[in-house]
Amino acid sequence: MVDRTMNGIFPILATPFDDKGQIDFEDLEREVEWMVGVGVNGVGIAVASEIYKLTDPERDEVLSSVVKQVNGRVPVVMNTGAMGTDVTVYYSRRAEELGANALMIRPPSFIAMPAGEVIEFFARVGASVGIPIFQQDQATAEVPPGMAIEIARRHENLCYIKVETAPTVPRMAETAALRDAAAESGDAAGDLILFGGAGGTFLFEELRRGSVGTMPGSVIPDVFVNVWERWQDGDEDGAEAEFRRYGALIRTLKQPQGLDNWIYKEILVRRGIFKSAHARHPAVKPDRFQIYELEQMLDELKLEEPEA
Amino acid sequence: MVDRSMRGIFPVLAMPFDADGNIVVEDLQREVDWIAGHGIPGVAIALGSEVYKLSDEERAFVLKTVVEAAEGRLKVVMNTGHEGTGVSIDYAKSAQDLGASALMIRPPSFAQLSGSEVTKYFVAIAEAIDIPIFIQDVVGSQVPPPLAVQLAKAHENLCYIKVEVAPSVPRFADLVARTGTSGLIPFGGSGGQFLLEEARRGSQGSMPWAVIPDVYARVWDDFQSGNEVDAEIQYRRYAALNRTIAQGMGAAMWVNDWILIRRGVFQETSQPRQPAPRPDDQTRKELDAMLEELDLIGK
Repeated sequence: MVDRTMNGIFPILATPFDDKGQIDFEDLEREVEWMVGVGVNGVGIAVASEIYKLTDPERDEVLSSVVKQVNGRVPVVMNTGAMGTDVTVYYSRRAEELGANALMIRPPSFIAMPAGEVIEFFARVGASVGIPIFQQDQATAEVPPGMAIEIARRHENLCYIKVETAPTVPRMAETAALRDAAAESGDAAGDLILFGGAGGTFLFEELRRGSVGTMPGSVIPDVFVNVWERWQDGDEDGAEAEFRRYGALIRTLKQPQGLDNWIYKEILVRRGIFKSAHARHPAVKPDRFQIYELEQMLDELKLEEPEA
Repeated sequence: MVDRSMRGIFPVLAMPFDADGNIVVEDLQREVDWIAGHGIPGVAIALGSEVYKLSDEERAFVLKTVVEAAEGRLKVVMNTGHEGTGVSIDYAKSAQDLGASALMIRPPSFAQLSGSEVTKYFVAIAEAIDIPIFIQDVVGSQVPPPLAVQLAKAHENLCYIKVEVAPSVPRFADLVARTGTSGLIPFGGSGGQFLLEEARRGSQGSMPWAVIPDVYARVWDDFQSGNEVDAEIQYRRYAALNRTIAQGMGAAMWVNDWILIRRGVFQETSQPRQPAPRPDDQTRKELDAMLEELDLIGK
């Protein structure tokens, strides 16, 4: 029976590299230990982990290292999307063998495909493994709400979706409404479970519209866990007011083209988790002002000291 | 001599429509007056004003109304971009005749053009008028920094640029490093999300939404007078609100109207023209909670 229990805060790990671009496994272990220690509900290895800049052996090494360090305490989600169905199946089976608890997959996007091909892509990958899959709905590789329902119907493993095509707030509501209508009519797609992403920017707006968790970056997992727990305890207003304090930081983390990767790691260095902020090329590098601005924000939020 | 003096906050006006889609003139006048009352240097009538949903006659009417309501207190920037060079020139001349202080124009985007064609387009417009032009660098219609500098060198009227291709922060740095003697004056946009980061990298002004012009002006002035840290701490309080506005053009139109209604500038029935996907009622409650926390209701 496929695992339908995942919810809550699932940060996407940053991949630590040394200044020459080699993976620093010691820092990766420290990052994982910190995440689990602050109480995250799961971790992901995905786009924000620069997974698309790793060789195939490195993908395996990173996943194995994370699985070993997590040691069954929380689920590990591995992004195994590729441009071809066969390669995606290969990555997916490999990840399952190495101990991933779930997969995350976006539609092939290099050549835009019609809906029928995308649905068949997911159906084949879903049937090839024995673990659940997060469909990933993203600006350059969309899974529109109607398509998500059709995909979920094709295999029970296709039972999660991460919605991150902007604007995510109405999109979450629409996906949830279609899911609920499917449930009403006894359709298998009625079991689709919704997560948010996009840096957690609209965490609470999304939760209110049917999401049960989110996959933010890995730099403030303690903050996300804190507000999530307050929300779970019924303190909606308090959780949201607290979360709004981090709006400017989250905005800064969302700058594309690799600037985000550098900035995540500059924070992880300052929080005592990473030794280097290196992001693999190509990635736009922050200027000295950006570092100054970041330090100002961390200082105001009292985030400069490591908490674990 | 072309006016190179524009600096600071130039909010993009929200366009007030009633439930039937008619322009509400009194609301537009009230908005302009309210903005001028905060000591702001200028306003723009642009994409955020739904200018692309106005008829030619309405464009002229809106500009005329705004120029009159400004009573000389505000510079008025009019977006006159069009897919064809000829129509763009007609719009530009008409806006100049009606009293626009400057124009804002993005490259034609329906059919993608090479840099040399974009240059011809801008130069042809610049030659037809005597007021300055803000070159608009926006996703879907980009003017990369090297092209921007080339345009500025090609005609003295092409002396402002509004940079809003993400990530805008390194783009500003790149642009300013290349500007040299071209005399290009860069402004920010993108809803003012990175207002102060851009200022630190050479931005001379910004065109944010019109809903919290008082806040933008205050932090901008604070920043310029050297209180950088205070300005930024103040500004960060509005990040969640800015994020809520920046959910695509459709949602932004509704959210802007709702804020201006709450602040007492627009009347209760104000809404955008179609098409504009309306956020759900829950969004309005979430917005109210934020406005209350920021003490923005009724003022």
